[in-house]
Amino acid sequence: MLSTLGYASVIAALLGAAIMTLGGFRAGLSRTGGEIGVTLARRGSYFAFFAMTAGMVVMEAALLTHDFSLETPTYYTAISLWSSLDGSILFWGWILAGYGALFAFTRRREWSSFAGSRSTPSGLAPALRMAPLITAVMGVVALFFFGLLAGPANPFGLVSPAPTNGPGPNPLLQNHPLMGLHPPMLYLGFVGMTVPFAFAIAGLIQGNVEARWLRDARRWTIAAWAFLTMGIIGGGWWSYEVLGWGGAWAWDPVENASFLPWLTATAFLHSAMVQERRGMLKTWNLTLMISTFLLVMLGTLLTRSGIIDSVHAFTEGLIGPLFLAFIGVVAVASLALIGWRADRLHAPGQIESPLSRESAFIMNNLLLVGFTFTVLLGTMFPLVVEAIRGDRISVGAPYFDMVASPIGLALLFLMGVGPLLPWRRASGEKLKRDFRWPVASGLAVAAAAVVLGMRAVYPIATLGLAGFVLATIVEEFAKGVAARRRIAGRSAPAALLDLFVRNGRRYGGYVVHTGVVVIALAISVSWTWKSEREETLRPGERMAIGDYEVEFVELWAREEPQRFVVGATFAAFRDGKPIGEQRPRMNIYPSGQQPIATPAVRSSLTSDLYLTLMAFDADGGRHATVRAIVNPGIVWLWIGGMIIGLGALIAIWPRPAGRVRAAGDELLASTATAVSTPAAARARPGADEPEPELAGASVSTPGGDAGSA
Amino acid sequence: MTGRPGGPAARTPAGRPARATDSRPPGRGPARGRLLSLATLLALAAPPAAARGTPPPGAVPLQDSVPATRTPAPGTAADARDAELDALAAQIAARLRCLVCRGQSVAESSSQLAREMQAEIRDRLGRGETPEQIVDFFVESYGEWILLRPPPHGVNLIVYLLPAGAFLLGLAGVGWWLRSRRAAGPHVASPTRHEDARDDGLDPEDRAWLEAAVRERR
Amino acid sequence: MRSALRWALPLAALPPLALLGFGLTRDVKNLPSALVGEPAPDFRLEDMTVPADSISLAEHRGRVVVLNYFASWCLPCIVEHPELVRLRADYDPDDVTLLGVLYQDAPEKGRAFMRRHGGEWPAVVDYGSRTAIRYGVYGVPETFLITPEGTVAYKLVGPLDRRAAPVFRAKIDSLLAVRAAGAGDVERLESADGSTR
Repeated sequence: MLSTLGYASVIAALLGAAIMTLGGFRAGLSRTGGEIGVTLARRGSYFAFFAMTAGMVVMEAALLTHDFSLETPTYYTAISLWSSLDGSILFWGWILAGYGALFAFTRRREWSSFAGSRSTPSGLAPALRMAPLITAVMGVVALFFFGLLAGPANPFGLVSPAPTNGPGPNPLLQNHPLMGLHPPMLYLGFVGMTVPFAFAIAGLIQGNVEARWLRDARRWTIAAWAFLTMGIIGGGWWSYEVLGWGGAWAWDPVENASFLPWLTATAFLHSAMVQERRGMLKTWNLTLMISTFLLVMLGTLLTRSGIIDSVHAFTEGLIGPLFLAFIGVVAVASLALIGWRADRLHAPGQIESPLSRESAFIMNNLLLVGFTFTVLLGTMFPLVVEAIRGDRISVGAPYFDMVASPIGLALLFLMGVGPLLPWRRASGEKLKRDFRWPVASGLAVAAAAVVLGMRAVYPIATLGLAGFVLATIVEEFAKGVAARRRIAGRSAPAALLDLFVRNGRRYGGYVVHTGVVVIALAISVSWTWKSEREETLRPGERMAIGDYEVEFVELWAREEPQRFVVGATFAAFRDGKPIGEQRPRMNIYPSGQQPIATPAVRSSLTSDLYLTLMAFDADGGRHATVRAIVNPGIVWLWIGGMIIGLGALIAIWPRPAGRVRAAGDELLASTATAVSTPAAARARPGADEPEPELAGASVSTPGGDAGSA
Repeated sequence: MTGRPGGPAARTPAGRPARATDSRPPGRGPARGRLLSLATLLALAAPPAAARGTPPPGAVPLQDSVPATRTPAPGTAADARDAELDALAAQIAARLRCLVCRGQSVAESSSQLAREMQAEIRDRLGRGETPEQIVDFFVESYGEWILLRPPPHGVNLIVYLLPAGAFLLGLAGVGWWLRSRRAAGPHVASPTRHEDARDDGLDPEDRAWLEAAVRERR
Repeated sequence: MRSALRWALPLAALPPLALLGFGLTRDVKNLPSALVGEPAPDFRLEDMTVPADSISLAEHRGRVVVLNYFASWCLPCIVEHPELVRLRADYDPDDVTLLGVLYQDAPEKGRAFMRRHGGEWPAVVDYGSRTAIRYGVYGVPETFLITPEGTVAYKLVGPLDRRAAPVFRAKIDSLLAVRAAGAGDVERLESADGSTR
């Protein structure tokens, strides 16, 4: 019964996707039927989402009511939906439908208001064709995923004879509540990259990537990017808390697969600003948007198909080849589109000086894309070697660390320098003034690091650059606050709030950079001063590590509904004072897996005490072997991730229409000659018309040159 | 160090590397002993669900195939040479891939096989073998796959040279792009609507307001 | 964009796609053995049934040796066990030695395993996995096929179950045939000049 219901909802979703695709293409491409097309696009999107939601509900109901999940706690049963391959594709499809519906929702006014009035004999006005095309492209992707669900990846297929009990979720996936958060975040990020991809394809088809298109594309990308960032860092946190080796990132192929689209998305977020200001790099940006989506699909293919060995890999018969085929078609079609349209997108303009914001962004992109290429190469290289000479090799953490460190340093440097460089060209004098204090700060921090005992070059350099970047960010905030106070007479805290509210993009971006710096600091500090010790202790015996002491109290065991747990209690002391007890344990599951060791972590802002129970002897002697790791500052990795999320939120928060803005806009709109400011541009009706420079003309401003208004 | 989520280079544990210890099955005893014996029996009797009997990462099988050795308590007079060899063993272990884990090194892993490999490394060092000889031994047994960093010879060189090559190619590409734009003619004035050469910290609205106010004044 | 570049661009996608396609075709979980073709490392390990005794690999030179790494906690080992029993029954002990190696397990549990699942063949205990490491073993079950001259001919990773058995047996048969042919040559040489070689 549930199976039929579930399958029916998948078919319904497939129907919805077909409708939204056809409607979108109709409205976007054809000369007639714009109104019908848009209606179909909207309704198809909503219907697909509704159908997928029904499917998700059915799936959860099946999971939660099935006899054989009774022993697993409800929370873990509920979230096991995305632990299986088919279930995770269902989840993916649901989120995709959600993004489609959300996009249709954001365009509802535009789509309901045109009702014949703005359509011309040749169909919808060009600017209005973009959104239906975007919906159509998302519909095509949805058709693929829903098609998988209806076919080889059917999560509602009946198993006959029905087993009385299932194996339960993999024990590793039952150990930590973060399993409820990390995959959804990651999926929201991955699937979210479908939207900029749709923007790119639609823009290529139309041959038009103007200001409003870019602004919207960028906002959707920031949202997906924020989820992806938090998903990746959440994954690191999960790895740290659950896997027991005391680290957060291992350059595992699965981790790399999630990292690659993050890198290209970050590159796009930066180079988009060059397109916005100078009109350049249009083709490049389109390439980045498409590559991000392709990397998401590639990552999914790699992790799910067993091409690369990983804990996530399932060897499923048909899904791998189908994924590969889809990626192939998308890649070839996108490249063809780019080849076809590249000429039309070309805009005049030059990089006038190596000391300019444009140059900084170009260097940033070069580094990020180079990093992407390197990580991709390293991840795929075992496959290459095997194809060439049949041998199996590994490319592990030492290789990636070696490559990542210099690139990371260079990017840190650019993070500090970039915001300070003006567009077009910088004056040497101004630069020297602006950089004096940050450079001094950086050197001071580096010196402090050496004094505190750091000796390795990379961490010292990281700390120095971190100080440099933080100083530039503080300087920017100070300038902004001062300006607000001068202009509007606001108090300092209110001025700060104003900065976020009125210029969220810029200052939210600074907050994101701060988060990145915090993460870099956490990594350097933790690596430099991390210590580890393993001992076998008898009850009452103590072991010292760092400024902690760990005393073995007792062994214990308990029975839980889904597993059997053996643990050891350790009393922890810091600087001689008791700080509580920690209970690392071993979990034994009836499904027959080997016992899984769960570490016990005590976190503080300064350091973590990380205990793993390695072995125990339950005889009269009652030994316990414990490995203790002291990890300074690691907590700031997760805090940094949250700061990044906060910054992204600030950046895309919709800005309120203020009185000042409205007054200023009216004034500007009433003046005869156009003034080249963004606010004026946005205030003008029909602002979504193609940019003048596409037509080859240049906008003349009073003064005739950039730099004066 | 990186500004991205990245792991640092090989970690060197400050303490002694692990010596294998045992967990003997409990004999008859009080209730807790029975619980623990039940645990051990469950662990031993219950077969793993994997297609191969490979302990998943972080797992520690409960059996006493290895005789117990106590790690010396801190502070005891340990041979300085011993400590040196321990540290060297840890370095070698950090170069080898743990076979039953998720890409971790033998030094990082807590699995039984990893600890046994660490013991093997330590023994061979004690017998006078050089680190290279020990690494070669593992490569003979397991193949190049066991090295976390591919040895730089033959086809492997690609993975070392290509990234640098890609960067240089990228730089060259940027240079070509710049030159092609310059060749398009002398500096083309194309200020866009969003042109904003001055970056004095004012957000666009404030600047607009300011300019409007200034214009009004004139 | 020049015409040529325009059409070449989509083609650039093809090599990576081909590589991925290749990746889909192989099984990533099994590591090919580095020992095939190399001399099998000799060992002398404690006999699992009689701890006071020991067994060495060299003792079995001249016979085909099936070296089977197993453990009592290993489910696929239980799956393959009947096949091993059949193997033992079908081949003459003078031709083929079946030798078990207990991996990461206690001797009494190994003995209990053999008692429970049947079959009689010698087994040794690999304390500390020293021998396993030398053989490049990273899990159980793994089975090595060693020629009468002491070279590793084949390594099977995973259970020697009904699917894997035919291939394995075929290799045993061919090794026995080679041995027989070689013995035939020696006999001919002996009879030719009356002396032994």
